[in-house]
Amino acid sequence: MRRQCLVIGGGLAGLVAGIRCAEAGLKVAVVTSGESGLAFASGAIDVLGYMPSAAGVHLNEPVSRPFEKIDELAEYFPEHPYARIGRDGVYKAMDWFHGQLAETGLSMFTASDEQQNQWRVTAAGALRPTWLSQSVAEVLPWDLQNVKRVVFVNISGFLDFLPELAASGLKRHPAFRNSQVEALNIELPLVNGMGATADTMRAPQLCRALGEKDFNIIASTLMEKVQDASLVVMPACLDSALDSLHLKELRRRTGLNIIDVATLPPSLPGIHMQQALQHRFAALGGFLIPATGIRHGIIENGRVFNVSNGEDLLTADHYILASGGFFSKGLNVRPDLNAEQVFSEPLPVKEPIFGLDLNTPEQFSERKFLSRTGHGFIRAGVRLNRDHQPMIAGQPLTNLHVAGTVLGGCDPVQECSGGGLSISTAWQAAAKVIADIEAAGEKA
Amino acid sequence: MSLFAILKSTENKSGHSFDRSFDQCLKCTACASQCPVAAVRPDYPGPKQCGPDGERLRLKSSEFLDEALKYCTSCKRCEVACPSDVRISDIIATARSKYGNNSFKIREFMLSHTDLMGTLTRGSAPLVNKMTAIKPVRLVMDKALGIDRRRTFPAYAKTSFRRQYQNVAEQQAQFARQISYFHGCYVNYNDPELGMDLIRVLNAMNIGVRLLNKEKCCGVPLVANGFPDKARANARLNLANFEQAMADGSEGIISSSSSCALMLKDEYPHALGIDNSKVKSGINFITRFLANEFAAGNKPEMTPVNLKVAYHSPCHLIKAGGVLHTLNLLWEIPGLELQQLNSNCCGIAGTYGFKKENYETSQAIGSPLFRQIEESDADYVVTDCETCKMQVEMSTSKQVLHPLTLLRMALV
Repeated sequence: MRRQCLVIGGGLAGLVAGIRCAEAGLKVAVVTSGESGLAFASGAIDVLGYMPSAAGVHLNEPVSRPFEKIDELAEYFPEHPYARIGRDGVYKAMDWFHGQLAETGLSMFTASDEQQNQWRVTAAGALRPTWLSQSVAEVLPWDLQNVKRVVFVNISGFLDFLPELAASGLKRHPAFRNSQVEALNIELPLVNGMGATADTMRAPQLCRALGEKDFNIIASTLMEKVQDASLVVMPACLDSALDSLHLKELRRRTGLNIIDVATLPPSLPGIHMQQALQHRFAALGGFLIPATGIRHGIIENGRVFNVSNGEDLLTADHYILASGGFFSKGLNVRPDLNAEQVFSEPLPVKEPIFGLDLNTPEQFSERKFLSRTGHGFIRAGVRLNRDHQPMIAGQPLTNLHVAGTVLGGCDPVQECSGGGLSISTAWQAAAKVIADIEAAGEKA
Repeated sequence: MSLFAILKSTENKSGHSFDRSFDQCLKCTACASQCPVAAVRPDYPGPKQCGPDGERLRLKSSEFLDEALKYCTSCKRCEVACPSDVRISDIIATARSKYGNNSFKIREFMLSHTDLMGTLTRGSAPLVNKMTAIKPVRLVMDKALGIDRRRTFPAYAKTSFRRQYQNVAEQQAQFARQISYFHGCYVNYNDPELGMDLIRVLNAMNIGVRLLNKEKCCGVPLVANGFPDKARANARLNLANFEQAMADGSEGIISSSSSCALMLKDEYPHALGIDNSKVKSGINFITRFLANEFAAGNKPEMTPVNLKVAYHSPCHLIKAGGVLHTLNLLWEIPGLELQQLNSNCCGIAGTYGFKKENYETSQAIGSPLFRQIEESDADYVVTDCETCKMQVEMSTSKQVLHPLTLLRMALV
């Protein structure tokens, strides 16, 4: 049966678009193929951590008030998705998203001033400005003053979190030059581990393997060895449910400022967010169609008529494309090119389903992998016209809306803006669908 | 040479002897986040280690075979998650039979030879059903065979589907359009009523149902239990009968079991090395066939069912990309309030959950699903798979219907 809206892609952007449509009472389905990027994600939501560099100016200052910076960003980068949505739109989308997650039982926290960014600690010991964090708010003061001792604590043998690496990473940060930063490994019996050792486990298995006795040992070891730590950082393997009960209990028992950070994938906080969003979508009456990769669209008179997975046709009134970036195959570098051409001009990036017009930065990549200016291919993606419509050879499509990483004109890696971009663009795409359907209803 | 050609050439080195799709593994661990076994068994190293990683080592020496491979349920969720099309589950299944202990096991033989066991119960179904329900018998099966005593056995039908079909065969031949039905072991021996539902629904759409001259178990339980040669023999027989049916004017072959359909249509070539290209496009899981007919305008007359149902998508239907078709079909049933359950494996995995050593794992995998079903106020659970049905009915208080049965209930 025909859906009012079909969302292509089940990652963060696709699920957000689906949830907003379902909340408005639309008949909506999300089609996905493969695993979403959320299983690899930190589980925190960044809005804007750094201003993108413009015309040779590299801004390394972290952004403390992300929403306020959006006006400034829009001036420099009118093609940036945030520029299209505007400061108020981005804030409304993020606030709505925060509320949706609360409905699922997944607690996410802003800083005490909700306009303010907070620090997120990564498994490599880097600090990133983020807006929403899972389980604990404001783990470090924004000015990073008076953080005397930070301890990265691992469960001995677990390979997807490297406390020594994380400690040396954080030590390189100028604010921690005079702090004590160290690593600690705790031997555990892993009472529910069925005899297996931590070195064969991923985070979800380690989580299952931990029992009461293990938590007792963790608590007593921390109290004995790191009682004066300002911050204790553990791998996110303590809780399998959304409520973070074990982490909370550990914080209560030790009185320590303990946080858990996403490990190498699979990442439990990312999986928790994925599950929370999927459950919310289903609870609102949405349908999730797995293992259905959309290959191409059939266009008639400036409208998407239907889309195909190569075997069957799927039909809806409106479509939202949230197919992701290169890893999700929402964008690809044309596979028929040879190795020399890949590194030459013009940028050989393609949006494979519809063949939409793209933003194509002049330079495909920088010579330096960790270049502060970011790589051109990351900024490549779908280009929209003034009415926010995607185009094929300059001709707009009126019932196709685009959201998430498949959009161009931004560098979520450099900006620390991936979560906010996916959420706000999906929120806006869904709003457009809802408005169009309402307008059509009034006409009829 | 183009990049694409370089990538393809690695794939093509496969030859016929072994699958080299593991070369495409990026080590991204997308598979690990989806494995239902790893989620409940810390001692199962997960699909990446057991599949592509382990295969590199096993190619050097079979000494590297990890005992833990036996915990894989072949649910294929890892393959759905994989961005590089690595046949993780097939690699594990093949490794088990290639490098593992291949001595004959009576339990594996009994559980996997579903058509033979069905034939043996012919005429004695009521007795067998009573026996498998008695505690002392279950205890003996548990102790002597390793079939868990807590497991409810599927009841055998008094009269097989094939025999019941004889009463309607003549009437079926009257229809201008004819389709062949691969009923499988379950419909034939355990649930002929589901086969009759299929006939009623297709007849209401002016399509007659034929049986194949002969059919054997699709091979899913045989592969899972280490009988690949037997599975290959069955595949050859089935395909010969499919070709015959098509030559005799049948539009195609339909199956009402999501696992049989996956095997027949998608997996014969790479799981068993048997070419099904002559008939592949004619083989369909029933919901795809019906959804396409509905979309083309051939919809039976239906009346509102006024029911609330919770839909559970079976792992093998997901793998086949069939959830799309079942939902398409369910959306068409008038008066149906449809809730889609979270995508969780039920844990039974065909014969897996019947084995004593897997019982706890099986129930632990299924527990989030069971909890959600109990919390739902649905009148029925709906699912496409017969073993999911057994598992959900045993582990929850709800009755489970096949989409076909629901559709039959909606017929005028």
